[in-house]
Amino acid sequence: MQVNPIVIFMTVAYFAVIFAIGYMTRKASANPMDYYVAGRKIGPVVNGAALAATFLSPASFLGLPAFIFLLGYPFWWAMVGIIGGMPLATMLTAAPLRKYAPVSFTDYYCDRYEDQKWLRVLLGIPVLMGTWAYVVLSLVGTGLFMMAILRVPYTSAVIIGAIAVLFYVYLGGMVATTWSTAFQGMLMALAAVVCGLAVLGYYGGFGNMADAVFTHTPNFWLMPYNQPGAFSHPFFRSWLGVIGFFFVWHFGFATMPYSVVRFFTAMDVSSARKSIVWCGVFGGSMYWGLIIIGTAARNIIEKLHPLIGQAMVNPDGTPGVIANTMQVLARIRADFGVGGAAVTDYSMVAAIESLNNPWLMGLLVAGGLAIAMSTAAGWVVVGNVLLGRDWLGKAFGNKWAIENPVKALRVMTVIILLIGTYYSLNPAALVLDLSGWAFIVLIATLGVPLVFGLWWPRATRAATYATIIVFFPLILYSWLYARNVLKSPHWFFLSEVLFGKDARIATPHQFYWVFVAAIFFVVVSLLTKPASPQAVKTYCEDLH
Amino acid sequence: MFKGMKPVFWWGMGLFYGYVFLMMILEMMIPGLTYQVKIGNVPLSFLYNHLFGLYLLPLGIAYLFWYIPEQEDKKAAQTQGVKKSAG
Repeated sequence: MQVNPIVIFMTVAYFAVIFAIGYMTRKASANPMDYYVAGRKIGPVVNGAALAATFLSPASFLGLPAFIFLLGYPFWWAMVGIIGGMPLATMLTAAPLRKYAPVSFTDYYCDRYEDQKWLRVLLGIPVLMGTWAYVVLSLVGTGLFMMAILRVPYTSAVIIGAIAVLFYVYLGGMVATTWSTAFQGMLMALAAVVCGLAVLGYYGGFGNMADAVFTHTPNFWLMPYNQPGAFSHPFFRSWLGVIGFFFVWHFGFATMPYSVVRFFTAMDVSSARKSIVWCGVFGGSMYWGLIIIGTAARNIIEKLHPLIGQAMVNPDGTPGVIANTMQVLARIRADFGVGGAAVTDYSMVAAIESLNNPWLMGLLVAGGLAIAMSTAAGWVVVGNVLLGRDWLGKAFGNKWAIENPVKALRVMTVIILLIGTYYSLNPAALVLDLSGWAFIVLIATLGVPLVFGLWWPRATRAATYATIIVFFPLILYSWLYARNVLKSPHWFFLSEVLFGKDARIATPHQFYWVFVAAIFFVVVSLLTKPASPQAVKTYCEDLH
Repeated sequence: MFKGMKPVFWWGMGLFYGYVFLMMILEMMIPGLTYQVKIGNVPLSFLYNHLFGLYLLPLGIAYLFWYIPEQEDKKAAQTQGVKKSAG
């Protein structure tokens, strides 16, 4: 299949804008504060768009429509949970953290809990795991879009994506990252809305689309308990699956390092609050489009995709014809497969490809690259500050890192992207799945001490240490056990132990650990020595 | 715990979680609510979930969380100014 020149033009235009932003913001390297936090000069619209693009990753753009495609209507509530978590951050973390105005994500914990060295080191471990998982995921997303739509060889696609991210993060630090990410945020929202409207246009409206989906997959619209013995997916046999998916990503926006650092770049507290309104505009618009695409994907691929009706070889070796969506996706995966990427990860691309419109495909590839590269850059700036400033400079007092702050961050940028690119070239399914685990582990181990530190004078350093040390391995173990033994990270890992052989209780990504960690943190805080009155006043009460 | 948190936060969160969980419960109790109950030709879920729950409600709450503290801060600054000039 040949690539339309319009698609190539839109991709080239996208890269031209990204490289231009990197080049124009190169002067940020003259001032470390510009390089760290964009000089705290970013207005609400730009910061809001940047927040949306950073927080929402290729897991949103490719993964969520695929989840709707696979799991049906109940997954819509997970999307509501993600967007509904945004306003939660406004007062809980964004306003107090901007008032405090730190440079790095770990600064707040170290000041509030009065431990500048080992707490900084410990906090960095889950953050680095998150950086690794998300940089790999984002580079894989970049490669997948360029390969499936532009037919660029996967290895070249990953390297091009990594070089582009390296170029603008290296030159302009947080200034370049913010401006390019804001552009990417607007682009991804536009891409999702236009593609969603095109799908609606094909059906002639919401009603006809819903009818077509019902005719094709009647169970799609089922919620738990609607019909005895029937469900849209086994995860939604009971209410726990619906609530679980709602909460998996819900608290992430308020607590994940890569979104929280964007509150530091806002001009002032008011601007930090207002940027979340704009983030809701961009992120909500994008999700509005993604729900339409995900809902229609199975039906539209079967009706219109050019691979339907083409020859294939059946699993038993006999000749056959591609007749359904899963066979189309399997064929795309066979032609353009990437390591451990799931077959359904191609459903978004295949659904829009079915409409056979080069402008839509051009917009989709630009939007897909935008969301993938913005998340990669967002995590790279978290990781380079953590390694170059927090660990080398602050925790271990390395003279070179203290005297050359921008150089130290640039070296770390190169190292993070080299490691990310290496793992992206042949990604294991485990690495791609880890992004879900990373969300829960970061919210439980870092989000809980952050929110309680800001809003509860009794929160203690010992509770922070204990929460990280206990829940980091516990969440990893339970998640891996569910994934490997029960064959999905969405089953409760003790299902068989507690409820008998073959029993399955849906607890997506082991989400309950966030609530367990919060209770654990409170109990340990009450049993241990509180922070000094001065620390509590400066880093808790005065920030309200 | 949460001393100093503005009341609008609890109102906003109550509204959001109340709405979401109420609609989930209704969907589980009323078979067909997601698809068969329609306004015109459009299933109701596109209005209460896809448009209102996903987009308008979070946006409205985010706006309130910016606007109300902003007005309170302005009022507090004005009151302080009046006190200073009176002093």
